[in-house]
Amino acid sequence: MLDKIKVLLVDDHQLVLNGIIDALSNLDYIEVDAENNCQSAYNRLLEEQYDILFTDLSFDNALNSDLIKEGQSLIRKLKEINNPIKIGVITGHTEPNRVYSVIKNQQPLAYLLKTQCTSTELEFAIQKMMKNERYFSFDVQEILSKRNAVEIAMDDIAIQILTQLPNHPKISNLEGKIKKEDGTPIKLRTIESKLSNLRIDLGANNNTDLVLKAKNLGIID
Amino acid sequence: MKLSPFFFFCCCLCFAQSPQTNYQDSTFLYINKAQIGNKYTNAKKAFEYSILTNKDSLIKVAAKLYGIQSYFNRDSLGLVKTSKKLKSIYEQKKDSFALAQAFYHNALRVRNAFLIDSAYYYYYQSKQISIQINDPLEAGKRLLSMAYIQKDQGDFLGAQASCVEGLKYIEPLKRTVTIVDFYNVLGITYNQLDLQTEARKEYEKALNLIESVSDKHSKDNWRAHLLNNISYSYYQEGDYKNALTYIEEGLSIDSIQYKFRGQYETLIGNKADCEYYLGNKILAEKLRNELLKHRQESNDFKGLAKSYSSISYYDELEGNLDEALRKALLGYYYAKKITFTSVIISSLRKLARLSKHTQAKKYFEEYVQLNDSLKQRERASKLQFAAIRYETDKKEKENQDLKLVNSQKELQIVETRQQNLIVWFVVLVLSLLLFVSYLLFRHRRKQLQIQSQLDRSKARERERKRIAKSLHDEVAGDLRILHKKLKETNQSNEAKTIDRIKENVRHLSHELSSVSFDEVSFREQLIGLFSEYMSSEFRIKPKGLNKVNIDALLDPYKRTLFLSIRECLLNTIKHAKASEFLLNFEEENNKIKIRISDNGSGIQEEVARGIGLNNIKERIEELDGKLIVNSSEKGTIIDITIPKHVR
Repeated sequence: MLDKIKVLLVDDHQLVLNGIIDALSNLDYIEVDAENNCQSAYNRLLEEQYDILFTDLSFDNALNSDLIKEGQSLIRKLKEINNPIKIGVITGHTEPNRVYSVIKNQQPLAYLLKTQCTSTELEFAIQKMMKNERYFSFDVQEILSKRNAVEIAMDDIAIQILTQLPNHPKISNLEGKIKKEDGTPIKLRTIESKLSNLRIDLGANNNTDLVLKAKNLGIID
Repeated sequence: MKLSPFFFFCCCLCFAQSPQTNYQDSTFLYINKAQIGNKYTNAKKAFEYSILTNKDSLIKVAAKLYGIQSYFNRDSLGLVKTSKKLKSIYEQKKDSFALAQAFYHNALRVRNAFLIDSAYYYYYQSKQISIQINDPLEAGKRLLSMAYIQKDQGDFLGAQASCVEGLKYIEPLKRTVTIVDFYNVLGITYNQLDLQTEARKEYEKALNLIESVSDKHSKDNWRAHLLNNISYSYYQEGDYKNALTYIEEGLSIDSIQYKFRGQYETLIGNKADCEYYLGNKILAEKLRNELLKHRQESNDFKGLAKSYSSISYYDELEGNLDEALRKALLGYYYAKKITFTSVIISSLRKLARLSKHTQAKKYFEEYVQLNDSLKQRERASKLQFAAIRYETDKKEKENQDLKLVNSQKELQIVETRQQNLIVWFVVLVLSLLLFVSYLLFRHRRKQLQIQSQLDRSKARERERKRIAKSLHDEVAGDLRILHKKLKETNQSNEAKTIDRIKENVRHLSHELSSVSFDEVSFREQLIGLFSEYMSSEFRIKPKGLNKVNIDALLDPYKRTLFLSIRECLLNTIKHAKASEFLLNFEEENNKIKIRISDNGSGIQEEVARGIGLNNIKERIEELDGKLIVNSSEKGTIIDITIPKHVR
C-alpha cells in the first residue's frame, strides 16, 4: 500500500479549515491534519513529518509568547531549518503587492486563492506539488504576467525591439537600429538574448506570438 | 688630442687650489720669522699674505704684529693699513675685537704724530670696546697707555684713576710685568705730586712683584728702572744717603752698562747729583763728564740735552757763568732738536738768567710763551681727557637709555599686537560659536518638524492598516462565505449583489492596506499598481524611475508619493477617459519631481476640488512639497515636487 500523502493545513478561520477538509475528504490517498495557529503548526512539524503544507498568510490569534505569528514567518522558519516539506499558500489576499512579495520572498510551490479554490484545483495543486512543480491560481498568474508587462514597458530597449520587430522579419537587420540612451547601438547577441527573455516572460512561442501578446497587454501600440 | 686641454685645465685646477693654502703657509712662515728677527719686515710680509688668505683670524693676528712693529718703526702708513683692514672686518662681521684693535692702531698712529689728545681718544674708545666684549687684558693695556699719556701731560690724578681702573682688570690675570708697570706709573704720579712716601710704597710693591718674573732681562730692566725712581724720590726729599744706597744697588745689576744703557746713564746722573750735594763735588764733576762722554758717543740727543742742561746748572752754582751759558745753549739746542719741552723750558730759564740784556729778554719772552702755552696745554689736556671720558660716557649712557626705551617700546608694540590678536581671535571664536549654535538651532527645529510629520504619517498608516485588516478579516471573509452559501441555495440575484459588495470591500481594503517598503520596494509596488490597470486600451509608461534614488527617502515620504501617484492614476481612469498615462521622474536641487500626464479630456473642476486630490495635495504640502494641476481638454498635467529628506 502506498503511503498516504500527509497534508497539514494552517488557518485561523475554522470555517475555512472545515471547507478544505471537506473538499479533500473523498481522496483517500490524502491524509489531512489541521492547526489553528502558526506556532503550534511549527512545533508539530518539528516532531512529525508531513509532505505538504497549506498555510494562510495573516493570522490574528497569535499569542505574545509565540515566536511565529503569521504565515510568511512560518514558511521562512521552515526553510531556515531546511525542512523538506512542500509549501503552498492558501489565502484571500489578491493584492498584487502582497502576492508579489510572498512569491518573491517565500517562493512557495503553490499559491491558491480562497475565492477561486475548488476541490479539483486543490487536488491538481497537490499532485503538481508532489512532482515539485509550481502551481499558481489563474488570477495569480494573471497578476504576475501583468507585472511582467509593466516591467517590459519600463524597459526602453525592449520597447524598441518589440516596435521594430514587425518591420524586420530577419533579426540580423535589427542590429544598429536599437540604441541605448546615450546613442550607442546594441550588439546582435544582446538583442537575441533579450528576445528570448521576453518570450519566456510573456509565455510566447515565437516572435510573432510575442508581438501579439505585447500588443494585448498594452506594452506597445 | 681633445684630452690635452682637459688635462691642462685639471692641472690648473690643482694649482689653483694651492694659492689659498700657499698664502696661509706664507703667513705662518713670516709670523714665525718675525718672532726670531727682522721683526718689522717679516711682520709686514705676514700681514700682506694674511690679507690674501681672506681668513679673519689670521688677518687679525698679523695685523696686531705689524701694527706694533709699525709703531716702533714710526711707520704710520702701516698703522693706517692695519687699522683700516681691522675696521672693515668689523663692518663686515661685526667683530668687536677687530674694532677695538682698529682704535688701538689708530692711537698708535697718532701717537707717532704726537697728537696726544687724539691718541688718548682712540685708546679710550678701544678700551671701552674691549670692556664691552669682555677682554680685560686689552682693556688694561689701553689703560696703561692712557695713564702714561696723562702722566706725561701732567694730569696726575687722571693718570692715577686710569691706573686704578687698569689694575682692576689686570690684577686677576696675574700679568706681573703689566702690574709692575702700573705701580710704577702710580709711583711717578705720587712723585710729581710730591707725595714721596706714597710713591716709594708703590715702587716697593713693584720691586717685590718683579722678583717673581722669570725673564732675567725684563726683571733686571725693571729693577734698574724702579731703583732709579726710588733713589730719585729720596733725592727730592734731600735724603742723599738713601738715594745713593739705591743707586748703588741699581749700578750693581749685572752688565747694566751695556744691557740697559738708558738706566745706567740715569743712575750715573742721579749719583753725580747726590754726590754733589753730599759735598763730593769733584766726584760729582767726574761722573758728569763721564756721562756726557758716554752720551756723546752714542749721539743721544735727549741724553745730551739733559747732560748739558744739568752741567750748566752746576756751573752756574759754582759761578762759572760763561761755561754755564755755553752749556745751557747746547742743552737748549739739543732739546729744541727733539722738542724735549721740559728741558727747553728749563734751558730758556737759565738762558734768560745768564744772557746779556737783549738776548735775555728774548729768551725770557720765549720762556714765558712756552711755559704758558705748556701750562695751558696741560690744563687743556686735563680738561680734554675728562671731556673725552665724560662725552663718551654720556653718549654711551644716552645710547643705553635709548636702547632701553626702544626695547620697552618694542615690547609694548608686541604686547598691544598680541592683545589685538587675542581680541580678534576671541571675537572670531564667539561669532563662530554664535553662527554654529544658530545653525544647530535651525537644524533642530527642522528635525523636530520632520519628526512630527513622520509621527503623523505613521499614525495614519497604523489606522489604515487596522481598518484594512478589519475589512479583510472580518467583513470580506464573511461576505465570501455568505456568497458561497447563497450560490448553493440558488439565490443568484442576492449572490450577485453580495459579490459586488465583496468586490468593493476588497478594493477598499486593498486601497487601505499597504505593504511596507522594506518587504516590497517602491519600484516593485509601483509596478504592482500599474499592473492592475495596464491594458491595450490604457497604456502606462513610466520613465526615469531608475535614475531617481527613491529608496533614499524616508518611508512616509515614499508612502505619500505612492499614494499620490495612485490617486492621480485612479482619477484619470475614472474621469479622464484617457488611453495613455505617462510619468516622468526627475531629481533636481535635492528635490524629487514627478510629472504625471495623460491624454484624456481633462479633470473637471469638481473633481479637482474633490476629496481624493485635495487629500493628497494636503499630504504633500505637509511635507513641504508642491502639487500643481494643469487641466485642459487635451489632457491633464500634474506636477508633484517633494524635498528629498534622506534617511
